[in-house]
Amino acid sequence: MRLQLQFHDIQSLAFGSPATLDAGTLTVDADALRAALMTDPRIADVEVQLVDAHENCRIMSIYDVVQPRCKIEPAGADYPGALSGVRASGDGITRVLRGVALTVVAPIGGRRFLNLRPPHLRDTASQSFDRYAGLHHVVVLPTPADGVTGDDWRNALRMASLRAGVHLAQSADGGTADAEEVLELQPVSEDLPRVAYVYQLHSHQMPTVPGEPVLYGDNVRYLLPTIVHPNEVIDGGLLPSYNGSVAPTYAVQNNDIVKKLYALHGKELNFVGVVVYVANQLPAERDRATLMASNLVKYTLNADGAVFTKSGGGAPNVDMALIADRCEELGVKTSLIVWETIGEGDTEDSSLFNSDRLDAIVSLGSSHFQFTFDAAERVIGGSGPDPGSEFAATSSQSLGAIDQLGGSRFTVIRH
Amino acid sequence: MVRIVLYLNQFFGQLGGEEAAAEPPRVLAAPVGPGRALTGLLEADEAFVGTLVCGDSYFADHPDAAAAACLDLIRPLEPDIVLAGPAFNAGRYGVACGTLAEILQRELGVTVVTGMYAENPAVELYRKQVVIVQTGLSAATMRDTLRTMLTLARKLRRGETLMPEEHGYFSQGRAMPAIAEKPAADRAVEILLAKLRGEPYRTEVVLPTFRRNAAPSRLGDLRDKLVALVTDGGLVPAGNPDNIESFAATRWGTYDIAGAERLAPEDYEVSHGGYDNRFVRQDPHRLVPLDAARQMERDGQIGRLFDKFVSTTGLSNPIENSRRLGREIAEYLRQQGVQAVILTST
Amino acid sequence: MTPVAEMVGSHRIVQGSGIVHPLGLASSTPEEERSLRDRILARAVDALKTDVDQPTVFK
Repeated sequence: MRLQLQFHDIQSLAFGSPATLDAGTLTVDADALRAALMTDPRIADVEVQLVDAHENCRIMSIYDVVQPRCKIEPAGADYPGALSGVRASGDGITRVLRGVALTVVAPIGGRRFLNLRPPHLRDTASQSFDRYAGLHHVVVLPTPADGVTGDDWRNALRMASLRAGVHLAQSADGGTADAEEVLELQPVSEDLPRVAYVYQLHSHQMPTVPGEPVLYGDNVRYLLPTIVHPNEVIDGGLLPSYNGSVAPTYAVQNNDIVKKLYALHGKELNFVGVVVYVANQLPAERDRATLMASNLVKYTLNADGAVFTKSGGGAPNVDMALIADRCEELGVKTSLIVWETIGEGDTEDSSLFNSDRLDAIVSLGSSHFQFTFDAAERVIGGSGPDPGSEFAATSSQSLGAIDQLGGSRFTVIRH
Repeated sequence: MVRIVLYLNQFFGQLGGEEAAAEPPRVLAAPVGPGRALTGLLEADEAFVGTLVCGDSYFADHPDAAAAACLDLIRPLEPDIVLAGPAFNAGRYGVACGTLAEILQRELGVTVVTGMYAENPAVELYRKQVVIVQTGLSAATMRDTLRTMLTLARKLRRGETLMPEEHGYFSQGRAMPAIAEKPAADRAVEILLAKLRGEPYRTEVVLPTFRRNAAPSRLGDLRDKLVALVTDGGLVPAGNPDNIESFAATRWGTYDIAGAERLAPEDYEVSHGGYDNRFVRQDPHRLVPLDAARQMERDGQIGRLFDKFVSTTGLSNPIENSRRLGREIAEYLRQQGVQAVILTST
Repeated sequence: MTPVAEMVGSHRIVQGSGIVHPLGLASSTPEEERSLRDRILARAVDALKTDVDQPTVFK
């Protein structure tokens, strides 16, 4: 499997027609974008706004953030199972617009906010701790048609986010790429340690619904652990669930574990594959996943070590820890990434697992820390008395502060 | 003026050696031993107002009385800063310093810093509550150690954040937010590689340890017992009258079920953001099994069902919170004469 | 989530029927659910009458 990424760097956004990419400026044809999204009759109207990186702006009720990408080869094979037929993912050529995000705002269905100016963090030079503040944003605000609610509306938002991302990427036709990267797992020396990535796709503490596209369009409700090539989970084959509790689509497309393992492949390790699974609701399902996933890591991938990421809230820590613990029992070394629930100044953590063998755990910071954001000059998607005023929020409410795929730098230190 | 008091044991306070270890506490006006070194470290706005000396055995044998006596002796000195020790590797001295420091912080709100060698057993006992400077083994380092203790005390008074490596004290394990240089993914891969290579590595998250309590002995028969239903699934009466938070709950509630055979779905709601609660909202018995429990009462399998169910929300709660909730609920039920609890959890 | 209960040292742990309905099963009929609930509760009562010296899961 060989994926060629063609990167086009965006330095600024502007409204205009026709939509083009020229000398780093992405011209967005708002009417064309609206029309493309309104081919879905569930969407009654769409507002489009443009936001510059680091602008004094706050975007509320974010449903998703997508990196504008489209398949060049095979052409049109975007988001298989969701937007197009299940033909391919991870092969061929994909165009990527860098430096820009397609951000979907929806008061119903949206959850997190993004402040493009950094918050105050005691004793630390104020700096953005998330990747999204440094991107230019094309923000779409869709309005539901009458009677469109619940899971149907969330599906409409999901389709709109994908469609808009593809639409923007396609408007860069005719330009030459600024950079290229090839993702291919070349054979490497047998001396290098074999490392697998164990990827928890979703936690069914919030069960997915029929038609909710996660893996090649399947809702992974009863997914048994399986193995995929890393290219498949970053090239449209995998999407976050509607409630986005693992990470926004942008982070899934830019999975930092995959990136890091690729970067070290052939140099310090042999990236042998990705085991995907879901965190389950029923004990029997959990036991089955524990056995099957650890068996895949050990006996099918013959891994020496594995890196683990999770999704969702607290309960799926247990699913991840059970698999990791069994891996350690089988002689496979593990490292895990978790977010914590410790309060500032507290000395004890509330991790839901406890095993001596799980001794390499990286912290994404705590969902309980509070930050103060200065008043914002511009607010998108806000309602209520004064959405632009100074306010305090926790890290779990702020988009990108805690990226369960490891893309964020926020952490907890103990002193 | 910043008023500074020094606490010493019988040896450093020059009352004598082991034979003076049972000496009760007293205040010395003039500086002795390390106090002389301390005098030379003071800044213009600082005054060394007294030395409290107590025998290590006196403290060890009557910790409460000794602490109370020390408190009474220190109070009139009106200290802003108390430096205790340093105790180096002396165990009883270390425990005395730690105990006194904790009490002074709590009762007088004064800034206290002590100092110990890493193997002093008092380090593990007090590091979380008290700032303990890392010292060497030998009293030859006294002056430098006092300087470090005084420096940290000044910083603490100014509300500065201390960092263990930079400032030379034992980490208190207090969580604070920070931004790492590299994203978590890089750190996770790197720590795995270190582990695979047999290189040293350190986990960022230290897993909690849970104290094992002895198992309560079994109940012979529940036919005559008072049994309560408790849940952490966040089932509350409609309107959530006690405002139990949907995560990081600080409150719990008791809800009347006297004489009730069933929980009517329309009378309840769920304040818990961590699971899809529609199934419990449809039928609360899926979480709080009142119907089945009443049947057991009728069949004589349990004596009586307590006439309230207890509810809180077990989601994303700092463990110190959860422990307090558990203690309070247990105490309440005990006082009500409840003998057995069935706790249901999502 | 019995592993969590075992970890924190709960001594008598009865396996429930799923995170979102520990004493129920949405996919069954009301009669089947009630029957399941009765069984789980009976197990809980049995657990209270059983000697344990360490965290034990009753299935």
